[in-house]
Amino acid sequence: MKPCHPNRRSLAATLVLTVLLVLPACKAHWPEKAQSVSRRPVLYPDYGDTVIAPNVAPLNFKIKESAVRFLARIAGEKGDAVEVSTRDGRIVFPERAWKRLMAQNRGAAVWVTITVQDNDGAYRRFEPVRIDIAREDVDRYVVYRLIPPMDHFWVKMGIYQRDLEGFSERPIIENQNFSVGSDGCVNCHSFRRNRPDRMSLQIRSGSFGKPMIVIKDGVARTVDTSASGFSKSPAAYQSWHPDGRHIAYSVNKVMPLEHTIGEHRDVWDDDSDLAVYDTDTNQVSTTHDIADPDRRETWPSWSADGRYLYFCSAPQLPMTQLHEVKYDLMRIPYDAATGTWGKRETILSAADTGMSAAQPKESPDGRWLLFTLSDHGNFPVFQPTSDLYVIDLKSGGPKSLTALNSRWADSWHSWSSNGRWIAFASKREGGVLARIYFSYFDRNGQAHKPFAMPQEDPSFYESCTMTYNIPELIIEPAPVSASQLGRVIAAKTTLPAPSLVRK
Amino acid sequence: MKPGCRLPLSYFPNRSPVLSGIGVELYLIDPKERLVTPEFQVERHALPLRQVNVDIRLARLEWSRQDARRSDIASIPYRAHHATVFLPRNMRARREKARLTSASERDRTLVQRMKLHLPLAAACLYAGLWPLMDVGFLAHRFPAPFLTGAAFFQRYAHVVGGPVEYSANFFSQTYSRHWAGVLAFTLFALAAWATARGILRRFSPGSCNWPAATFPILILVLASRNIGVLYILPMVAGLAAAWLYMALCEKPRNRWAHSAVVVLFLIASIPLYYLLASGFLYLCATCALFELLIRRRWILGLAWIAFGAAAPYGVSYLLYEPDIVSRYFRWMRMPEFDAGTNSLIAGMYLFVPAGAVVGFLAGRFRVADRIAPRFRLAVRVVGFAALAFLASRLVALQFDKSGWIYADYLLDDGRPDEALASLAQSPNDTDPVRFLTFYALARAGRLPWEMFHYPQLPSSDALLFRDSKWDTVPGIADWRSDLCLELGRVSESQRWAHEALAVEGETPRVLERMALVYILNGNPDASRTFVRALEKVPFQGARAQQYLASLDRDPAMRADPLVARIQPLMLRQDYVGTWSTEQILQQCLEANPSNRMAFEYLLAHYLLTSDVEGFARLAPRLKDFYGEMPTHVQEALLSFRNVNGSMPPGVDGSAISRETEARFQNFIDIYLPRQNSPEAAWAALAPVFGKTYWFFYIFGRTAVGQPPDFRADGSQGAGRPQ
Repeated sequence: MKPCHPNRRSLAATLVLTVLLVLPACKAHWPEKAQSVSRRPVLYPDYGDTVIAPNVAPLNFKIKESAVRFLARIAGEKGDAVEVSTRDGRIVFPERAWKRLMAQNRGAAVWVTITVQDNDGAYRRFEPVRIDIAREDVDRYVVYRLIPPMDHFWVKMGIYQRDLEGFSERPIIENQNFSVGSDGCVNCHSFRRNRPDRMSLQIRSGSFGKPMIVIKDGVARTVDTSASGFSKSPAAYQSWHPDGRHIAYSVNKVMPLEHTIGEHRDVWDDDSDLAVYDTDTNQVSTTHDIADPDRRETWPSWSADGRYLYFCSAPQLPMTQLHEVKYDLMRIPYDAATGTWGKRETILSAADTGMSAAQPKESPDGRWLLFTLSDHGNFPVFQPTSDLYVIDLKSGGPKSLTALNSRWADSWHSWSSNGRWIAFASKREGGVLARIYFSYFDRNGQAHKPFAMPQEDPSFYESCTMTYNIPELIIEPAPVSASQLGRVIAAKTTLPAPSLVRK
Repeated sequence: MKPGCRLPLSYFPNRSPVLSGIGVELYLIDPKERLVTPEFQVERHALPLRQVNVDIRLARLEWSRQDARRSDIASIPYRAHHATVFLPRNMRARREKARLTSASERDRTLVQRMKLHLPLAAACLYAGLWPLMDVGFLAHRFPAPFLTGAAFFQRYAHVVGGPVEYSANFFSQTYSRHWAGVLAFTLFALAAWATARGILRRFSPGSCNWPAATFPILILVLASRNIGVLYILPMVAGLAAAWLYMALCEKPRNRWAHSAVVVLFLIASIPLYYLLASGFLYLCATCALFELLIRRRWILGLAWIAFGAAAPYGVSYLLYEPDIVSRYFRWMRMPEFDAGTNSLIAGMYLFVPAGAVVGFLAGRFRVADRIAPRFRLAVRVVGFAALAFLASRLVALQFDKSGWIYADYLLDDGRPDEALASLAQSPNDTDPVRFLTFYALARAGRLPWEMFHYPQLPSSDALLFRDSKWDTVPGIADWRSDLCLELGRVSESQRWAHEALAVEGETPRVLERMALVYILNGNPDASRTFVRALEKVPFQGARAQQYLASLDRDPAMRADPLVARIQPLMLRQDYVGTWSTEQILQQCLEANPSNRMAFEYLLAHYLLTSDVEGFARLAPRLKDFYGEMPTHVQEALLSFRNVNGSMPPGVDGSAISRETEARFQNFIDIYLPRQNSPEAAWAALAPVFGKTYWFFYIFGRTAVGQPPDFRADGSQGAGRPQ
């Protein structure tokens, strides 16, 4: 090897120094003169007219116009504008500058101005795009399930936690953590009031059974609810009671089925019932009104004060009447201290709406009930007609959240801890792959145009073939790791079979 | 040789055994035939030999007469064998040092030589592999998902062995182009050879050039047909890491530097385990052998063994997985093939570690010195013969196109006639073979003419491949998606494409199918996502851009020939529920009565299940598809007439040719006298009528393939209605 000549070394050092000194000085040259274009630019994802959270990571986007150079400037009433210039149309904002701008303009609006340079060197400037910044933060973390758009089989899936103030994602559990081969499935997860100190999720594993994993104060345990004698089926949808002790859950005898035209996926609910698991006494309790043999009860969800259990219920019908199976929205009073149930009542009847209700979620202030309505059945994510609706529990009457609904399935929603944000999964880009969106929900009960969960690579969603569901907002990171949960599951130290109490 | 002259290393013909031999020492002897002091000898020996001014004669001390005869200086007096009297107390350590230094020197020499030889060897190998590697087949046989970008890598980041799987998937993308695939295998084979050679030379005397060549040939043979590169790459990478360790261990001149190398490697082995999974075991095993056998550092050897055992457990604390076998052996293919292939796989996996041990033992016990020259020659001949055999197997693979796996590739490549030829070469009546046979025959337009030329059973399950036991077998979802698409059941094809995506990942084939079915279902937005994913697959960018351009021009892509062909066949009604094979095919015909494939499949279903009534119901539509009735249809019509006394409604006698009539009469004449003796009937009919519907109707199978066991199964033959 030839020794490096001293002159060459100094030359290289000079070059490096020059680059280091010059780089920070490089700033997008913003042309003052440009031809006006009387339309807005096509951006992907479309963040125009959205209301965004002030603490969210930069909303990077791609400019879908043909040009050789792209310049974006985002500016608010306060603070310095942030300018970015690229040659491929991908606008990636520097995180620090973005956050500073958001903080300075909290509760106000910012405008994104796009200027592009054509082959001939001329500039074109589009109409500015307005983005409103809410006053209220969105909870910092969102936990979701990320899976392929599967029907019956899978290899890999998991539940992940994303830091919304940045772009980092970490697995909470992946099926490889408790699978020998690929025989593991992770189902729904649930938190108590957006706090991860109480967390539960359900797994199904060929090697380790179908336990529910209950995490209390950072300690994970498994319990086989199907051993209680209530139902042989494992738990599916869950909801933590605000007292941090009880978990309402459904047992669903569901089977996937296929249509031969249009959206091919559907789910047939053969029978479903509800029960409540007491994590302190290891006891399962239920009552006739939520486990009625003549009806299917599913989608349990506690009210914010824990006095009611919301659920959806439909009469038993044969599969030949698949399209007539529509679920009512119901609730039943519950006294957590004594474990006594009241009588169920119908909040919204399928007979009145002609639609099927699912996934009720009461807002943290107890005023709004958010749910989906779709054509039939109880699995809205496979129903293109599924839209989000809200009921004002003070004044009654459902209304469609038209600002956030799309022509494809919108479902799997959850509230932020302050009740100002709704996270939901939407298949608006083609009806197959769900993405997570956040919509600002103001004090008047109006939802605003949602924005897609930001990604570092603005074209991420364009080619992402995975689908997101069950986004649950939490204020702190989950206290367990995938390895911890895997060890707990594999240890097979399941709690004793819960006792069953029917009331 | 004159005193003071500078000699190239190549001057010493026996340098290899001298330099790496175990128990063989290099000595410098002065012009007066006196051995110089061992200290001087060792000092010189530590230097690169090219820099030694050889002003004295070089000789070897030999420990046997035979080697003395072979020595370049054979005139060493026997008394020189008493060299041990000159050995200092620490001679053993110095001897080892000298050997290691020599090995380093050989590496350097190898590098220098490679400057010239490597490009030449690579070019020759590339040229040799060009006609031998069926890269298109590999792309089909071992599809692997890969997308550019960090997001895709993230999926592999949370599992031990994920990075090497990611790398292997990237490697597999080169199969998209013949030149790239062959180039990848060329480089891989060279790397495998250099790794094997580098390791083996440290354990055994000799250059090991040819023995090491066995390793890449084994790899090429197995990778060409049986196992994906994912099950090979970790092993080679682990061995390469071990080679690096050995080379670095030989470099340091002082103890501290040496210890630093060892400690660094032991620490680095933990991330290496994360990167390579089972490849890590190769690193540990080879390094342990090296320390135990060559350097005689027992503690280090045991440390490597301990690390090999402990690291998977330790890392599982961070990246937990419950399956202990997977922790150690992920990405090692378990025996699941025929005995010959399993032996080759075992040979490949064990080649380097076992070769190292054997090489060491051969040197240690001076096997070469103890056996007769003839026998030594014979061993060499056998070795070269084995190498030639392996190479010939690699060549033979290129010509072996038999079997359903290859037929599947040909079919996917749009060559149904060749696929049928492949299937005919290895007939059997398993469901995959029968499914492919039906599908290939239908694609070739030969189903009602030749379906009984292939092994058949009295069941139509294989027609639509509906048995759930095949559900999770890789590739089956693709087959079902293909078939459903051809039948016009686009949503069902979409369902199986979804299954394929979930099980196989984003392979080009799956992404393209997803894009297509969503175009057909009128959802171009969904289609675009999959096309953009295809754009991120190496070598598929141009194809994806063509798709995107077509979608921009016309979101329905009506000009696309496949879309134009399938669209008229699509179902118009939603059928929810569980349906029989007959109902499924009838639904296709209800949507489009001219759906030829559905018609022929339904026909095949009736023939396979001997559903005479069903056949009769379908018969009136025969004339819509055929001007001249296909062979098997004529045979079935004659059977029908023979049983019922007349033709099915809508068909007259003109549908049957005279020749078929004559053949049928001949068949009856042969069969009737033997109808109570199935074995005799089979023997008499099989040669002439074994490929007819009549034969199948009587025996429930065709003559192709295994004959039935008439003793075991008395129901065979004569049990069918006539």
